[in-house]
Amino acid sequence: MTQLPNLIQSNQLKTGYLAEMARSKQHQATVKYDRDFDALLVFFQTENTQIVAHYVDDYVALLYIAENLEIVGLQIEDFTLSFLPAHENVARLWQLRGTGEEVSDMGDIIFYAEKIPKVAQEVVKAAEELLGEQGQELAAAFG
Amino acid sequence: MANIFETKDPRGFKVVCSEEQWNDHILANHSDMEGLEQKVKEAIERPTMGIFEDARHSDRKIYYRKQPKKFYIKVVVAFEGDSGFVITAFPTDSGKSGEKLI
Repeated sequence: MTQLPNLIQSNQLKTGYLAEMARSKQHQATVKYDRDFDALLVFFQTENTQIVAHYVDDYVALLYIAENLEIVGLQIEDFTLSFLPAHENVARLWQLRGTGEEVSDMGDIIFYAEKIPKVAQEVVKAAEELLGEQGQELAAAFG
Repeated sequence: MANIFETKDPRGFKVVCSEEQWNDHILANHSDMEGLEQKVKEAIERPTMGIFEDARHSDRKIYYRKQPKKFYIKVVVAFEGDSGFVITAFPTDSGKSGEKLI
């Protein structure tokens, strides 16, 4: 099977930015859901930077800054189709999202206030095993 | 509904990216794609290796085009017959193992 060449290896990605987020606890995570693509994005917002997805399997990708390879979050594809059925805690939070005043549309959703940290934490925790050491840094940053 | 662009892929199939899709979905989720509409169009017209089929969604085709920096612009297009519309686009450094070159 012909495959697209990988341009970056997982062990090249850095976790310094995540370590700083874990230490400072001053940055709030952003959670976005792309309904058309069924993908959940959980990341620390950065200004004027190109963010690249690095797939660790066919559903989970680390998000990193192109210029310095620093990990800033993750992207989970087939989120409602595959990820939620396999992760009860996250599925429970997902079901609760419609009861909050911040959600007005079933499509692209941006979580506000107290929901963001919890969703980010649960998603990262669920993906942590797959992500290895980088997952631990993510969990510390979002925790 | 206005279109950001209309183009054809290497097979001659029409692909459209609507303004709504670009602004309300692609930029809403990937703000760093701002200003890269032409790159997305080029990825569809001249993908680096060819056209890939999505592993789980048989109606979707994936286009990758290598950029000067170390990533590809990835474009996901949903087709109905020989007409497609862009679902999403974002930078990535690899394909997915389940995708097949058609």
